[in-house]
Amino acid sequence: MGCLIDLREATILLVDDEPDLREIFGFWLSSICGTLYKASNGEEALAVLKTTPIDLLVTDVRMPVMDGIALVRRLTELVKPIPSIVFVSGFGDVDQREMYSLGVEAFLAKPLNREDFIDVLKKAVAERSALWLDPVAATSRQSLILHAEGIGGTAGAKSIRLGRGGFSGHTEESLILGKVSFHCHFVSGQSEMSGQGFVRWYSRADQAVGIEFAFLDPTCRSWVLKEIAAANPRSFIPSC
Amino acid sequence: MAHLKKLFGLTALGVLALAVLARSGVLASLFSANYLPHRYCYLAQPWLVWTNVASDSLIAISYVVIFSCLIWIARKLRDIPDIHAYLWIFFSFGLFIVACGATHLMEVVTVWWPIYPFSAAVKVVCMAASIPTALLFAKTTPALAKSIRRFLEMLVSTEHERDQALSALSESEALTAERQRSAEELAAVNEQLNSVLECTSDSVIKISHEWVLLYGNGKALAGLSDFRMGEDYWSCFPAVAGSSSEQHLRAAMDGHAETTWENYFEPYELWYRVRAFPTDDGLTIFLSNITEEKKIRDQLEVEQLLREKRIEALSHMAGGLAHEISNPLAIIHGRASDLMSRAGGEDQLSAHEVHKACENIVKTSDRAIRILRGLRGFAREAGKDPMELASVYEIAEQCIELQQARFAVQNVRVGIALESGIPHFLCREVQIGQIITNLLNNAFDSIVQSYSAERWVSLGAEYTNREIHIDVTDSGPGIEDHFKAHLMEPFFTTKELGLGMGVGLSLSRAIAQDHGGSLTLRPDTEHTCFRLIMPIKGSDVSNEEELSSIGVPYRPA
Repeated sequence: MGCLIDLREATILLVDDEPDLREIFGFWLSSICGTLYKASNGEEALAVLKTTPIDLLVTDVRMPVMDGIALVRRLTELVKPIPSIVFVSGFGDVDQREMYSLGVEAFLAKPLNREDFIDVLKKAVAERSALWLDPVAATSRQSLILHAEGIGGTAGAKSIRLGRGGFSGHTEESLILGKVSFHCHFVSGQSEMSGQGFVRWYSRADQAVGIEFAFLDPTCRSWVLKEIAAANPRSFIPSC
Repeated sequence: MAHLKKLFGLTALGVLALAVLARSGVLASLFSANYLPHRYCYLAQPWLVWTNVASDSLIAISYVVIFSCLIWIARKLRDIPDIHAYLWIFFSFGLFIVACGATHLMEVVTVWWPIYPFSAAVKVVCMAASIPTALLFAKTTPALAKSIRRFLEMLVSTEHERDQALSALSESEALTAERQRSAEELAAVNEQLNSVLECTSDSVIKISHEWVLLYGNGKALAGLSDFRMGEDYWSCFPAVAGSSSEQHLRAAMDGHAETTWENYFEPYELWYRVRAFPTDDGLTIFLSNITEEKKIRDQLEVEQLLREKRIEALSHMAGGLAHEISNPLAIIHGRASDLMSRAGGEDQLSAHEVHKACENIVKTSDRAIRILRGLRGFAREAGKDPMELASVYEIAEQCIELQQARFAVQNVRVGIALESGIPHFLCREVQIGQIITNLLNNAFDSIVQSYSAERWVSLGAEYTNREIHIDVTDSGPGIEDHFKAHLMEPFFTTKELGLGMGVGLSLSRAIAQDHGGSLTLRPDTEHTCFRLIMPIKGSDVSNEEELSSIGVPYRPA
């Protein structure tokens, strides 16, 4: 996992089967990143990853020979440390819950703005301590109160699980994808976790929700960051 | 009565004879003083003589008449057994009366002819008749009175009984009238019922518990030519035995349960909806001819399947299409935004750079437009499109364009081998495109499912004997022999669960046949090859200049 402050020092691998897009994205990246590698499909990307330490993988989803999903699945078996991963997709036929748990940080939809693209990549390589400092300006439409027994898989089904960029838990409330204010009360511990985020996936069937952090309340910020640093989880948002 | 009339007639004759005698002067001489032979009778007073003579004569005549009457009554009554015991009364009384009459006659005779000994003898006879008569009569009177009383009582009671019988009769007549009225009403109701049964478009038949045909309405008799009243159902309709209809009929009969089912009756080539209602005396069966309805329903079903098939194929392609369209858009967007930012910055853009970027934008836009054009045809209901002249090259190009992304993602190469000079042909272009797309989909699925090392699909077309042959061949593992016979059946599929509904080939073939063509699996090829044949009619062939040939011969490695 890359823990860099600046894209300028990052080594990026860009994977897309479309030569024009490789050229355009490459042009955008070349001026702001350290080293840039390019590949036209998953197989070529794996070959690069096996030999070269990569901080950030930016990949298309649908590609011939080996698509982005297969690449991410293979990556976790073959490559260590795992780079930050950003998907650039033309079509949302991806199981986001699985991909977030495999380490994918963001899904960008084509076509996209240069500024948005760079912002997301910057965040993906940034130190966790530089993130989630400021409240999201717009008020959240939905709020979620969780009563959890603890953090991590050992505390039972009613625990929450922390990832590099968010958490997952169980709730009986119905949620929609998008902004959310959350408050987690822990039965076992003294502390609470509250802040703002985005509901990235929600499953009514097993009453599970995955939330990406956008802002962490100062009262809980330091212990949450410490927890993440100690566990160093592979998942961006773990699957429950 | 007739006899009384006779009696009056005779009396009148007698009076008439006397009147004649009086007029002749004989009677006048009788009233003279010299008429008496002996002068001592009745004081020789003529009025006394004649009063006696006339009275005695009339009494004698009356007695004879009474006697005759009595004898006449006795003769009439002698047949009645109850009267037998009393018949003697008539005879002895009659004898007595006659004897009395004779004595009176003798009174007249002796006025002029003094035969007194004879007169006495007559009186003795009269006495002899009257004394036993009186005795016997006196002796019998109480019994006779009783008998008469009994007779009269009997008569009264008989009359009473008769009255009763008469009133009973009149009552029974009322009852009969009532019954007749009921029968008429019943007949009217029956007629109404019959008219109901006759005016329905259903055939109605009735079967007894022993499967004997009891009734059939007019429709049944006309429509079911094997229907014979009074005969065994199974011998009239042997085709039903052993069919599912038999099971339904027996279920209704034995289970006493109303049963409805649909049935194709082969001898008449008709579809029936059959409703069997159990009754006390067997089964009542309504047969509705639903052949037309069934035809429409089947057609609707096929249309529905076509629609679902199209939706299925659409969702198959949606991912590839979204990718295919979002990529060109991303390129256009990226190129244009780069141009914009560099033009606004300090960079000096050369004309060559601008031209190159714009050329890339136009080229990429064209790519997106081609994809959209292919989609436009596919997303539409085409069954009612008019037949139009179409080019096999254009159809093939659109189909390939639509599928290219999907094929590329799975590393399946697409080869196109279209012979040049194939004329335009009359068809519903969108439907032919759907057949080819469907064949390409099948070919693709077969390759992807089998993980074949060899991965290609070829689309070929040739023109021969006024037919266009369009072949779709794939490098997949082929179709197992025992599946080949079922390939074109609806809902038959060799695809994995969730990948296909099994209606593509059957519908494609239906469309091909609708165009007067055919769709078959070629039996003699190394690889799986489906051939769509479209006939060319004389008027289809347009002039040679219109024919295009964009085909590039392709031979799989």
